[in-house]
Amino acid sequence: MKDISYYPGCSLHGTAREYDESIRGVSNLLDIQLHELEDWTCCGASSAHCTDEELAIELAARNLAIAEKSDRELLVPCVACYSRFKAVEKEVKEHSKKVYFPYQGNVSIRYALDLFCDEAILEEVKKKRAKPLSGLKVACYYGCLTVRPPKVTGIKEYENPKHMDRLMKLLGADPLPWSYKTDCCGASLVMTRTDVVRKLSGKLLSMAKEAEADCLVTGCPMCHANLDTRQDEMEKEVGENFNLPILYFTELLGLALGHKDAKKWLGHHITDPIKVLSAKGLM
Amino acid sequence: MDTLRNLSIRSGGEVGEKDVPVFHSVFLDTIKTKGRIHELSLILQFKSKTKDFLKDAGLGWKMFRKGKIKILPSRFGGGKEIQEIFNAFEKGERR
Repeated sequence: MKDISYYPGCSLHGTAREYDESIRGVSNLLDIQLHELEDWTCCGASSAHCTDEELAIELAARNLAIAEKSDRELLVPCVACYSRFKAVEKEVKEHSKKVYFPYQGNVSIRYALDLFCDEAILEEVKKKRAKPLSGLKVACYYGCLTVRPPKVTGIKEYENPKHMDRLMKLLGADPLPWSYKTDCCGASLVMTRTDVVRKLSGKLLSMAKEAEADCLVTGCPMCHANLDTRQDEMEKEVGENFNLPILYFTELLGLALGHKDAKKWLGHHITDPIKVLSAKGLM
Repeated sequence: MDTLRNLSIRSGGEVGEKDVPVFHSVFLDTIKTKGRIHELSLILQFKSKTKDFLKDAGLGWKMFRKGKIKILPSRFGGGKEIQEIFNAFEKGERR
């Protein structure tokens, strides 16, 4: 049994509830015990760092100070939160930044996708895989902050990351080569410049369809919302039919591990994934 | 890029995208008052500022039916410390 602290972040208590539920579900199956940080607060993304860098550091540091009270690693499923935590870690460790809450830079901050790609966990997945995702062609989408900036994330394969592809292959799916793995979806501009999000996310959907993907896989709640919820608007703009399910990697992990709630998680999506998965004999 | 944005906001100059700073201000206000982002409160507050009430109403309904909209914010205690952080910044005691 692996014990790990868990910072869900605000989205996972709202629009990304299926990401939260599937992380909890697969963790349980893989003998990972999650300990949700007591009294966590918003990390400030995406508005604090655009407005006041010092305020942004303090908002994130408060949560890291709570995490540092234990020796456990900290699991962070949202890449926006992850990116802010890593930025603060760098400020404190490398630039000796003093913060109000007692955080010394000693928390091992783990983005969910990175954690589930650890060798020991992959071994466990291999042992427990109950239903291979045979015949499912997936476009692995990493987005911006999963891998960038590399000086903050420490990721070596930031131009063409492959760890999600490897995980999907292990689950029995067929990860496709495509060139838009790390392009931007428009992120937090969705409320203010929805037209930009439609354009950028529409391009991603179009390219994933061109690669003949059955679905697109992500580990970011913001990318998921942008790509999943507005496909009808994008279809009208570009005159193309998408109907491309957007799945969290944890949902596919749960499906391959035979988790009983997988169908329930998928029921929260706006673009229905159940039809495609049923047609492939996976549900 | 963030540094330039921060400087622009502090200088109080005109911005090209008027809704963007409004969104950031509402977002931070939600953190200050609730400690965490409650998406429904954030959207309603943003719309009350931009007066664009109909935009995304259909999508909001779809998301509600899919169980993606949480009606009430979470209850927890950490919000008090967050208010202290904001108050210190607003009074200029930190920076």
